[in-house]
Amino acid sequence: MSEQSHPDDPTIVAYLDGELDPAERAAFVARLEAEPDLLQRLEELDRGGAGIADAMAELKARAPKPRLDDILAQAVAQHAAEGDTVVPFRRSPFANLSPRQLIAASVALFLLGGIANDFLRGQQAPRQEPQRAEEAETTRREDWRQAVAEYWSLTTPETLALAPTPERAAAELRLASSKLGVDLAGVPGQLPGLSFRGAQLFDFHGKPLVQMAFLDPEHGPIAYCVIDDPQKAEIARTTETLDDFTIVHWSSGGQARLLIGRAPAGRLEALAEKVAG
Amino acid sequence: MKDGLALHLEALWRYGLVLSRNRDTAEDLVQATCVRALERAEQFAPGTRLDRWLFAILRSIWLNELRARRVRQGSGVVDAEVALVFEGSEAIETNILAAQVLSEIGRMAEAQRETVLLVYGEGFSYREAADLLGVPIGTIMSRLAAIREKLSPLADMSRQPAPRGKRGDDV
Repeated sequence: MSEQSHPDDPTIVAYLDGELDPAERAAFVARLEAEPDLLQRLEELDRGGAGIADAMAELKARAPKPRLDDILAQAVAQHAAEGDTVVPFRRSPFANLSPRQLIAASVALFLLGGIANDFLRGQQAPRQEPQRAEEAETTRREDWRQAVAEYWSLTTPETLALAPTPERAAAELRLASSKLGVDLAGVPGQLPGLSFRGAQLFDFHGKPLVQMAFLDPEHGPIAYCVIDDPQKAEIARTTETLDDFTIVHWSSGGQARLLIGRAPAGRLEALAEKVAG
Repeated sequence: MKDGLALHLEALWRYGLVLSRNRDTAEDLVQATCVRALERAEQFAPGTRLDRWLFAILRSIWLNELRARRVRQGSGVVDAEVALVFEGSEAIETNILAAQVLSEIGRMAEAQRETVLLVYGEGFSYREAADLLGVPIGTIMSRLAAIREKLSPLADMSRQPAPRGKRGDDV
């Protein structure tokens, strides 16, 4: 097992998998004839792929078919019995959540919809210990980023597949700007290379929270979020990781802001520079 | 939707198992995916591939569930990644190479595990895999190259009869 990968590895694999277009393929075949090392590497990677399809087929063959059929039948019955709401889905797979997980889930659901939140708060959410005011404030300052991360984890490139019409985009930005008291109309134009996919207005513990969704062709979904900060804290730009997200956040002038995505820190910091500058 | 789901249950289970490396979690993922797909059936675009849509649902549930577990552990630290073997692979006596390949894949990073499953297990094109995973095609290619490189010694070994005790090293 060599430490360093062969620079041609991606092309070799694409050739083996039939993913090269005809011109690339012809060029690669010509190289193979002239470069014995390349051929040797190709044979090595070809061997590496030899057992995979069989192994995957073996794995699928071991699926517990009767159990899976039961699971589907139960899901169908549950769906029919409980009607078309968000709540039944949340209840079933997460029925065994610990109190801490329920808090996390209720934070996420809080953003997802009022009905689900009422359900959790009313019937399942445990009571938290009273906290001193400053502790609570610090916690909340961090919590809003956690809450955004929980929610953003549900977003895939497919979620953002459709771009809003220019009229719709402008209307969303106007609504968000007026609720927050900050002009956000220029933000999409400040973020080069990102495709704007709409602005949504949320409420986090009584404070307006705006989330602008973007699709980065290279790194997938990226969100820029702004929340009202009555404490008017001044926090310099800070980069952190939260689970598998990178977050760049800062606070000034009565708002806390963040950029979040599964993108390298450098990419998000460069975007933060544009939007904060 | 129900009939469509029935056709893809095993594929969903396999994807759930490859992601979670745990049979119970794999079944939970299938169940949650079924429920959500039924709830959102009207959002499925007719004429597109149902299995692709279901895989995206399962994946988003997995990412959310994974995060919830990290919260429970309280530290945000990833599980200690000991060499995990697919629970099913011990039973595959008919094909020793397949068991070894699965065992090796089971030790790979999650991103590699799901890439190999999607492309070589499910027949996703590079473009389809890149779209689902939200990464560039070049990333798919490098992951597959790294996977093939790791697995290549296994294929060499399987040409010689390997002592059976050797598989104990994987545990």
